[in-house]
This record gives sequence, structure tokens and C-alpha cells, in this order.
Amino acid sequence: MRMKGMREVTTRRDLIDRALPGTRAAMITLLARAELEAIRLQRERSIWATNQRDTERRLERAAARVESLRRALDGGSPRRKGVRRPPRRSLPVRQRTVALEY
Amino acid sequence: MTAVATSPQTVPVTVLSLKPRPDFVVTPPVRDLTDRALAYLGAGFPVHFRGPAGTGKTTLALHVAARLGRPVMLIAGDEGFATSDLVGGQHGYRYRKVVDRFIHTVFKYEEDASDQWVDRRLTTACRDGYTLVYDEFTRSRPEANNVLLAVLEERLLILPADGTNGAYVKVHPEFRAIFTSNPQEYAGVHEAQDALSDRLVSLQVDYYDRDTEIAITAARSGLAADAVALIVDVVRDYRSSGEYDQTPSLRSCIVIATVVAQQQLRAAADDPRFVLVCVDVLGSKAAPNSGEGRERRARHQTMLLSLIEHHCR
Repeated sequence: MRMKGMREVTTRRDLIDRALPGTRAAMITLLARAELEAIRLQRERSIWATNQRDTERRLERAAARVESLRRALDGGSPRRKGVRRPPRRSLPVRQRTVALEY
Repeated sequence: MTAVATSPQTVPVTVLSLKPRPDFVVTPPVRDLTDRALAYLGAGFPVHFRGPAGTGKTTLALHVAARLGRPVMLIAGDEGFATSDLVGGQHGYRYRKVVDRFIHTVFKYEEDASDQWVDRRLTTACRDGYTLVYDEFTRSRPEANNVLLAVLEERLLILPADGTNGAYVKVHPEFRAIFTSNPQEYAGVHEAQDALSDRLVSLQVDYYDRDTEIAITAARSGLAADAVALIVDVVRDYRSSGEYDQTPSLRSCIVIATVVAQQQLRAAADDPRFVLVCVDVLGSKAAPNSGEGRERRARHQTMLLSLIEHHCR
């Protein structure tokens, strides 16, 4: 198997970590350390999951904003053949009358 | 393809369509004042109703305006008014957008915004020939009303030079103006410019005669005329005594009579609730209850009670 970098070179530490400890006391120490590491990784996974959800939400919002701005800048999406545009809205009423009793 | 989009150029204008209330009373003095005002307005002269508070100047102005049969613009004078509040000014922006796709691979996009001129009520009234009712015009600072001088004399509205709608507006032949004001000694009132006063036909509006006050109060309150007459007599006697700081007006009669009608009180001195209503409404016209004013207030209350006793036995 081809190595991709120095990170994949087996070190002395790797060998020690993979080997079972020689004494019962060392085994207990490593067990405690491994359990804590497992808890830490679970916590990290949950933080990553939350971040991913937030980022996806923000991404959706940004994409919608990009789309709406692009549409506004282009004056609406290109007219497709056979699709009728809604009728143009009339200009605002110039005069409104309010009845007042004196 | 070139597309041009602009924002709408018109802004809605609100005008008033006036009609008298079902209980509006036209007595001979009201008719006389109305006819005189209509005669001056018909000849093209602006009319000015001047008189103390509570004499019905505004209602009379609206009545005359309604008789003219044109849409009405109502302005209420205010200390903070500037000329732009009367004629208009640059408000907001007008957008223009050009999208040029003459060659489909070339996208040319231009967008510009320019100030938009918005007419205010005086300009609209002058342009379209409406009736302008300028209520309490002396509450505006005199310089704010300068623009009216040329409108009333030269029939020309002079707009600020940067106005985009043209600097001059020829006043419509149907344009008429009715002004009202309180006397100069009232609080919050400015002195009218001589030049403006000289252009107005000023009609003095004073307190109406007894019959008119009874007719108006009875119509507004729904109380029987004989009970209204007692209330009006109390108020009129109190008014002629001069023992007050604010003149008791027709409004006082209407307030008392309306409460009496709604609470089903008797307009009699032996009905303590009626006496209390009178003291509440008319007592507030005297000096505040402090220092020298306290004695005067006590005298004033005694006088009020004796007036009620005298008229409503």
C-alpha cells in the first residue's frame, strides 16, 4: 500500500498505543484515558452535527437571497414561450376622497 | 432587448367631501354669515373667520366650503409649519432602471435615482381648483404663510426653484381659500402679516344669540329645548360676568347638556349631580387652585352655584 505522507508512517507511539499494557495498573490508567477520549469524541461529534445543521440552514438562506436578488436585477425570470405574464398593475389612485361630517 | 422600469410618478391625494351632520343647525345668524362668506368667495376673494374659541369658526368654514361644492383640502396651522409643509418638497426618490440586452452576451445594467417632488395640500388645491380651509392659520409662523401672498393676489403659486414640477403653478380659477383664526391675545397664536390680512375679507364671528345657542345645543345633545334653555342661560350669564380665565363657550353648553341627557339628570338646582356637572365643566374656566387664584376660585364657585340656583329653580 502506498503511503501518502509522513503522517502514515508507523511510529513508536503507535506501536505502544496498539499494544496491551504489561501491568494491571497501566491497563486501568489506559482504560480510563480511553473512556474519556470516547466521551470527548462523542461530544465533538454532536457539536459538528449541530454546526452542520446550522451551516446548511444558512446556506439555504444565502442561496434564496442570491436567487431573489438575481431575479430582481434581471427584471424577472426570462419569459418562457407560452407562459402568460400577469396583467400589469394599474398606477396608484391619484385621488382619494374621505367623507367628513361637520 | 432594452427594458426600462420606473417607479410610479403619482402619489395618492386625499380630499375631503363635506356634508352636514344630521343635527347641524342653520339659524338666521349662521345663514347670514354663510351667505356673506359665499358672496365674497364667489367674487374670488378669500374669506377669514376671526373670533374667540368656541364660536364655531371651523364648523362655519367647513359649512361654507361644503356649499361651494368642490373637494376640500383642510390644513390646521401649526408652529412647526414651514413653506414646504404647504407647497411640498423633495421627498423620497424616483428610481429608473435600464437593462440593455441588445446583444445577448452583453449585459448592460444602469440604475439611477433622482429626488421626487411631492405636492402638499396647497399646491394640489391650487393646481386642481379645490377649496382650501386653513384652520387656525395664525398658529403657523408668519413666514411659513408667505407663499399665500402671491396665491391670493397674483393667483400664482411660486414653488422653490429646485422643484421638478416647474417653478410656478397657475392657480386654478375654481380655487378658493377660507381661513380661521383666534384673536392675537390667545396663547400659541402669532400675529398675522399685514400683507396677508390685507388680502383676506375678515368676518368677525362672535358668540351666537341665545336662540341659536339653544338650537345648536339641543340638536347636538338631544336634550329637550326647555332644559337646554336653562343650561344655556347659566353659561351665558357666567360668560357675561367676566369672572373666568377661559371664556365659557357653546362647547360648555353642549358638554353639560349631553351629559345631562345621557345620565338622565334633571336640569335643576336640587339635583346634586346636575350641579356637580355644571361645576366640573364651568369651574375649570377659573384660575388654578393656588395662591391668589384660590380665593378667586372660591368666589367663582359661589357665583356659579348662585347662577344655577337662579336659573334652574
